[in-house]
Amino acid sequence: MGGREIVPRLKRGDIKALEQLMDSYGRYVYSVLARILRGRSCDCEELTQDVFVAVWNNRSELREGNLKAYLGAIARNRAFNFLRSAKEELPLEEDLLFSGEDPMEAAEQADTAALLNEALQQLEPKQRELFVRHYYYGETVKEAAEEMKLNFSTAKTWLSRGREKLKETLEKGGYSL
Amino acid sequence: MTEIKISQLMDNYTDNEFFIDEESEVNMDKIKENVIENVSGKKTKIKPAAKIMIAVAAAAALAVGATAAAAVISGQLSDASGSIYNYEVHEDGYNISATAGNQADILTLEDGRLIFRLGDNTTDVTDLIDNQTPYIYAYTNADTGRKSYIVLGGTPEEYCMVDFSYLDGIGWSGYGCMDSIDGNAVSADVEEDVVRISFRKSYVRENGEVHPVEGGWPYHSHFIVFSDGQVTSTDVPDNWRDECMDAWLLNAMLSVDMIDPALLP
Repeated sequence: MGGREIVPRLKRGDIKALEQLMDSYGRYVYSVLARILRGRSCDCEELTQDVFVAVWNNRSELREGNLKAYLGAIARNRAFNFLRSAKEELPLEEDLLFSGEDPMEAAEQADTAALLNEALQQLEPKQRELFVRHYYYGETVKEAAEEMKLNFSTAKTWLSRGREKLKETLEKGGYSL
Repeated sequence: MTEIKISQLMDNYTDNEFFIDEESEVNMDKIKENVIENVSGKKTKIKPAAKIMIAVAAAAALAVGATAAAAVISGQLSDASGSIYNYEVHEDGYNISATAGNQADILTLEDGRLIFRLGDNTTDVTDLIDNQTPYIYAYTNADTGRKSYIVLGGTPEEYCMVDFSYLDGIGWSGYGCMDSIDGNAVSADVEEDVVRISFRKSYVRENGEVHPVEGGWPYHSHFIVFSDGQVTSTDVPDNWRDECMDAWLLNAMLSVDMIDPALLP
């Protein structure tokens, strides 16, 4: 399902389009939430509902783009906000996790997305997984390392390489980290 | 040079590689029901994914817009599948809830053939229907005692059935199920054609061309007809127009028989 088809229908207030959106991405949104909030006492189904209600309530602001990334971004923000409200320590430094900016705006930066994917694809699969676990799902380095049966210092080194690769790719594309 | 943070960057990420499907733990139907209820303010019943139930709450007695008082029409009926529906139609919307049967069992795809199965009747309708040709089965509704009709249409790739019953003093109602071979919802064309076959022909013959609601969605505007030629789109409450089901509701506001007699068995 592409944003080009579904976004105009959502904007017109087509509830069927919202249902289709949930059919297509509901489990993904739930999974992102559940993975970030793993082991915590929370209702991920309710948070999943919140994500789609938020999409609906802000449908006039929707732009055609990568809806899956957009929904994932909202889910991440909801999950991290939940952690903040629970006064839990965030697994990463806050400024690296949440910018507070409109996720759609970021998700629409197709060139940025392409650069990100390019950088991630240059990493070894294990390194890529570690990067995603840490920077997308918010796992601490220790948690991710244990899950992946990695030495902690190795994990730190891999993450550092990942950041360098990302920085290198982005700088070539005109960005700076 | 543009400043960018890793957090922003990862918002562009779509995880297709390390994504863990939590399918076994999540009740998506419940989530969908709650979301739809939240955004529409109405109770709803979401059927399993990949099958779209249509529900036409009939209301011939409810004059559109102009007499939009606090009239509420409510009741319960069943259909051939054994489903039980509670319906409520009022000036600012409708509620339809509760279903126990499964319309999808009436028309099933088996080894590439479309099989119509109801009671003792089993008919291979594959070669009897298409997007323009319905197969209509008459039966007596257990609640109303009225003759009712099941209309089948489509192809093995996209097919659907609609069960039409008459509600005393209200009009026709229709419940149906639509499915496609790939598990996705059927296209609008099939949905429209099968309904048009059963509903629209007789109306157009007796009342002339239909009048779609101005500004309505093209997808649904084909279905929208008025029970009274004097009623204009401006008489239709805005919040009805905003919902996809409004088309079905308005479509049902006909005092004429909706099923083309020439097509009846």
